[in-house]
Amino acid sequence: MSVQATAPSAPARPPGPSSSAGSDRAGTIVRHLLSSSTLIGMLAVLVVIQFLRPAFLSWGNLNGVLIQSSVLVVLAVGLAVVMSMRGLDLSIAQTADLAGYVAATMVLSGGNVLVVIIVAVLIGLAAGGINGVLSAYLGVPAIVSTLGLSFILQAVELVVSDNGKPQQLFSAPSEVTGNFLLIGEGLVNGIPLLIIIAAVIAVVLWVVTRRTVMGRYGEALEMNANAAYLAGVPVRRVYWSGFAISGAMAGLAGVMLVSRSGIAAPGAVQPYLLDAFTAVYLGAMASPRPVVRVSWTVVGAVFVSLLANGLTLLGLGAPYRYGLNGLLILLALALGVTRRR
Amino acid sequence: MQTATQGELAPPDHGPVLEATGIRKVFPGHVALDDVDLLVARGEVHAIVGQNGAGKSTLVKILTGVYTLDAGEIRLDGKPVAIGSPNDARALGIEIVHQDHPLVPQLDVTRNAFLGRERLRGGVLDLSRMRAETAEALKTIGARFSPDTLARDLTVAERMQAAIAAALTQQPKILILDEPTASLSMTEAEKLFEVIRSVKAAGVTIVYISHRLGEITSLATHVTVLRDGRRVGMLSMAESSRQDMIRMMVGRDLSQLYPRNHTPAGDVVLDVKDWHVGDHVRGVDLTVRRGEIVGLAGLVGSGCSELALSIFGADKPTGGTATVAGQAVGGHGPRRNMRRGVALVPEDRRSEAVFETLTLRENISLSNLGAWSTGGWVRRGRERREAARLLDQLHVSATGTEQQVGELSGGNQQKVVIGRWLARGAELYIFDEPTAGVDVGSKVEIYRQINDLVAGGAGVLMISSDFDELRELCDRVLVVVEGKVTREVAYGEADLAQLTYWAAGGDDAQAKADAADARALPGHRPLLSRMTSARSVTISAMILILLVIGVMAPNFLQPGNLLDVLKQGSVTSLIAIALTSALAVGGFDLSVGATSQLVANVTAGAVIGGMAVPSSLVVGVLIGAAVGLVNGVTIVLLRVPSFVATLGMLFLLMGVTLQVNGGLTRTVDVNGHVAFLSLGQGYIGPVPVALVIVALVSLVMWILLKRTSWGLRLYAVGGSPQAAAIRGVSARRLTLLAFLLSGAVAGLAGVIQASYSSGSTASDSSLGVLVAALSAAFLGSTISASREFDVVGTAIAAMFVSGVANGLILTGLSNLVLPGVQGAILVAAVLVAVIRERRLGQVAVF
Repeated sequence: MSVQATAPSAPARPPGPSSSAGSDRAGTIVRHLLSSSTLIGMLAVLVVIQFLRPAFLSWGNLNGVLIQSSVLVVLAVGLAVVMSMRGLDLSIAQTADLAGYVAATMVLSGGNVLVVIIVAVLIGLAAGGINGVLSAYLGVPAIVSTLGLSFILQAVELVVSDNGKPQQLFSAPSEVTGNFLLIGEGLVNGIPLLIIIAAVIAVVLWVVTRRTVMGRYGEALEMNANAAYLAGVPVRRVYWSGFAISGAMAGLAGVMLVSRSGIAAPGAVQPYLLDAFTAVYLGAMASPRPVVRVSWTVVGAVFVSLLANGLTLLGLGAPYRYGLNGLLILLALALGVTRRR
Repeated sequence: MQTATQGELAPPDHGPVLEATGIRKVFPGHVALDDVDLLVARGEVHAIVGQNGAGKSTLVKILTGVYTLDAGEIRLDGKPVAIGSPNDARALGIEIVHQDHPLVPQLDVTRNAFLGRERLRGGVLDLSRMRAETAEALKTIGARFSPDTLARDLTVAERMQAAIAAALTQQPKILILDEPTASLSMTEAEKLFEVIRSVKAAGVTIVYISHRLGEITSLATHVTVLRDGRRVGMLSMAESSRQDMIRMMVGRDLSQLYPRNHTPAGDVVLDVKDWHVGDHVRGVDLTVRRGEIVGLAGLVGSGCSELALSIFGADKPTGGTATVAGQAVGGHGPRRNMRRGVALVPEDRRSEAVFETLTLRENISLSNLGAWSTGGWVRRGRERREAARLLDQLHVSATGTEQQVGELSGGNQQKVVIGRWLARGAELYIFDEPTAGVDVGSKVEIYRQINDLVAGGAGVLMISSDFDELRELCDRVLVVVEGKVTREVAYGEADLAQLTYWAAGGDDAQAKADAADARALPGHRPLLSRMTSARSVTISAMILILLVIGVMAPNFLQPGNLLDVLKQGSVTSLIAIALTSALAVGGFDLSVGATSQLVANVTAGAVIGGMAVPSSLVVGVLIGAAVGLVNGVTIVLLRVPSFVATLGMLFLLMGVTLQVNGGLTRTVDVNGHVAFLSLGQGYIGPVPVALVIVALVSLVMWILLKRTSWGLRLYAVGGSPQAAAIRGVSARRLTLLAFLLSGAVAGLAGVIQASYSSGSTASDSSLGVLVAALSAAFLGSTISASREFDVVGTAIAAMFVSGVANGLILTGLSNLVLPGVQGAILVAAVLVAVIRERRLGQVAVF
C-alpha cells in the first residue's frame, strides 16, 4: 500500500480491514450509480406497470393515487422525523386509527369540524408524548415503547368502539357530516384538499427539520447523541419532540383517512404501518446520501402508493402488497449498506 | 527514590525468548514504527516505555497479531515466526492483558477465562475442569474471589486479576501487560505488583508497558525506550536511573513549542470547594483566576476527567460547591452550565465532540444556534459568516465552511471543536487532553488559542497526560492522585520527572495518607445488592399479581385451571424462547410471531392434506430454520441491524401467509387427526403434552446456550462484543447460529399453535404474539440471577404473561382490554430493565 499524497483525508487512522485509498474514485462512481439506481429502479417498475396497464399513468388514475397517497405522506413524513433522530414509531397506525375513530364519533354527535380535528391531533400528540417520555426520558428502546403503546391504544380503541363497531359517516345525514367529509372530497381551486394538506405538512416538516434550531439538533442527535449532549444540545427534549411530531401527524392522518372513506372501522389504518416504513426506507435509499429525510420520504410515499395502485390494476391483491413491501425494505437496506461501505 | 534490588535481576545468560528486529509499520500518512528492536530475556520483566504516540501500542499490536508488520523479523525461542492474527499469537504462547481488559460482565470468571478456548467433555463444557484450572490460576496470583464470581461484580483491580488469571490458564510463554495499573489506585497497584512477581516466579516472561516510571524501576530488569516510532535504547534497570529513562523518552528541546502566556491573573472565575464525584473525586478544592491557565496533572483514573465532566454537568457531583463568576455550576446537564459560562473540550474527540458527516459550519454553530437564529429559525447567512471567520481565525485548513468535518485531520477537527466554544464565548474553558492525536503544527495553534482566551479575561482549566505541555503552558499545575489534589506547583517550579513522580503517587507523606484513605473506602459492590433487590421486587410483584387475581377469581388458582394456563401459554413460551436466542446474541427478532403464524398455516394445510405428525413437525422446524437463516444472512452479510432485517421479514412473511391461506380459516377436524391435535391439546396423565414439549425445548435450548461452547460464545457476543472479539470469537457466525435457532424454535411453535387451535385463522396475530414474547423475554431477564436473557426465566415469564391474561378474563375483565394489558406488561418489564441507566432510547434504524 502506498501513501497517497493527494488523498483529502489523510489522518493517522489505523488501517481498517479494507482501506485501500486507491479505489476512492471508483467508489464514488459506484456510490452515484447506486444512489440513482433506487430512483431508476422505481421508474422502471412504473414503466413496466404502465406498459402492462396503459390506464396506469392516465391523469384520472394519477389524481386518484395522489389523493390516496396524501394520508400515507402525512404518516410517513411524521415517521421520518422521528426516524431521522434514530427513533422509531411502531404505534403510528394504531394512533391514527384511534384518532380517526374518535373524530368520527365526535362528528356523528354533532361536533364542530375544527374542534374535531384539533382533538384528533391532540390524541396523536398525547400518544407521541407518552412514547417520547418512555424513550427519551426513561430510556426504553423506541421499538419496545411504541410497540407497547400501540397495544394499549388498541385496547382503548376496542373499548371505545365497543369491540370494533364501525362509525359510518357516509350513511349519516349530510348536514351532520357535510363539513367533515368535505376534507376528504373538497377541492380548492380544483386541487383536492387532502393533497393540499399533505403538501403543507410536508413543507412544514421539511422546514422544521432543515431550517430550524430544532432540526439541526435532531441531525446532531442522529449522528452522535453523546457529542450532542456535550455540546449543550437538550437531547432528551429534542428526541421527545420527534415522537410528539410523529404522533401528531398520525392523529391528523387518521382524520384525513376517515374523512375520505366516510367510515371509521378499528384496524383500518393498520396496513399503512408497513407502507409508511417502506416509504421512509425507500426514500432514504433514493436520497443522495442514504439518510432519512422528509423530502425523500414524500417521494417514497408517492411511489408506494403508485405501486399499490399498480398491483391492484394488475389484479394482484394484499399478499403481494405485503410481500413486495417487505422485500422492498430488505432490498433498500441491502442497497443502503452497500452504499455506506 | 528507590532502585531495583539486585536480587531480582535475571542472570543475563538466560538467552532471549523473544527477539524482534527491524520492525517497521507504516500507516497511511505516517510511519508508526521504524526499525525497532526488542530483545526480551527468558523469565524477566521487560518494560517498554515512551510518551504518547511513541509506538508502544503499535508494537504490542504487532506482537499480538492485531497488526501485521511491514518489515522486520520476530523470533521466538530462536525460531522465526509469522504472527498473522491474534489466534497465531495465542497459539505461539503470547498472551496479552489490556488496560481495562474487556470481560463479559454477565459471565463468571471461569467462563471469561476460557471464552474462545473452552475445555469440553463429551461435546459439552467441562465446567468442573475449567473451574479448577481457573481456581488454580487465581491462587497463583493470590486473588481472593471465587471463580464463580460474575465479572460484573468485580472491582476494577479484581477484573485485572481475573484477566491475568485468564491468561495464565493458557500457560503462556510471554505475558504482555499493557498499562495494567492505569485505572488502579496505589494500593490496588501494589497488590498487582505482588501478582506480577508471583507470575514471574512461575516462570513466565513478562513484557510490561506503563507510563508510571516508578513501578518500572521496582519491577523490570530491562527497559526498552521508544520515541517517535524508533527505539532510543535498552537500559538495564540495575545500571540506570529514572532520570535516564525520562531523558531518553523526551530527548528534545520542547520549549519553542509552547508559546508562553503573559496575562496577569485577575479575579477568581472558578471556585470549587470540597468537590466530590463518587469514588473518583474526593474532596477537591481549586480556584482558577481570570487570565490564568491551571493544569491538572493526573494519570488515567486519577479523577481529572470526572472532575471536569462534573463541573460541566455531564457527570453528577456527590458533594461540594462550585461557582463560575459567582453562579453555581456543576451537575444538572451540560446545557445549564454552558449557559452559566462553562465550556468543555472533551477528551475523546471522535465519540464526544465532532459530528463527522456534518459540515464545519454545522459543527461550529451547534452550541451557538440560540444566538444565530431568530424565533427558532437558523439564520444561515450569519451562520456561514461566523463559521468562516472562526475557521480563518483558527487557521483551519479546509476547503470551506461546507466541507465535512470527518475529512479533516485530527488537529483541524480539534480546532473546529474549539471554534464551537470560541463562537459562544465562556468564562471558564475546560480542556481535557486538547492535543491528543494532534500534529505539532495544530498543537501550536491550539496553545496560541488557549493563550488568547486567557488574554481575553477567561480562565482555563487544562487536563493533560502530556506533562511537558502542562509544565510549559500553565501558570499553576495541580497534581491529582486518586481524586485528590496532592500538590500545587507554580510555573517553572517542577521538572518533568518530579511531576511524573508526584502524579504517580510518589509523594511519600501524601501517598501514605491516600493509601489509608483508599482502604477506608466503602466496598465497590453496592451494585450486587441493588440488583438482587430489583430481582426480588419483580418476582414478588409477579406473585402478588397472581395472588390478587386468585382472590378476585378463586377458580384461577385451581390446579385444573393452572394446568390449562400452562397449556395456553406453551405457544407463547416457545416463541419467547425463540426470541431469547436472538436477544442473547445482542440482536432482535421481530419476525418470530410471523414465522410461527406462517408455519401454523402451512401445517394446518399439510395436515388436512394428510401429512403425518412427525413430518409436520420436521417441516415446521425446517421452514422456521429457513426463515431464521435468511434473517441471519441478511444481518451478517449485509450488516443490516437485526431489528430492521427482521421487520422487513415480518412484513414479508405476513404477505406470504396471506398468499398461503388465501384469507381463509383452515380447520383440522378431530376425525383422523387425533394424533396431531394431541400435540397442543392432549394430556399425558394430568400434564398437557404442549407443556412437556415446552419443557423439552427449554432443556435442549438451555443445554445449547448454557452448556456448550457455542452458547457461551453466543452470550459473550451479546454481552460484550469487544471481549468476544479479543478472544477471536466470530460474532458473525454466532449471530447466524442464534437466528437459525430462533427461527427453528419459532417454526416448532407454529406447529403447536396449529394443533392447539385446531388449525389456523386468517386474521393475523404476529404482532400480538411478538409483544407477549418480548414481555416474557424481558421479564425473564429481570428474574434471572445474572440478569441476562435466559431460556428458563423466559419460559416461566411467558407462563406468567399468559396466566395474567387468563386470570383477568376469569375476573370478568373484558377481553377487549387484553392487548392493553399485554402492552403495559411489555413496557413495565423493559422499564425495570433499563430505568437505572436512563439512556436515550435510540435504536439502529439502518
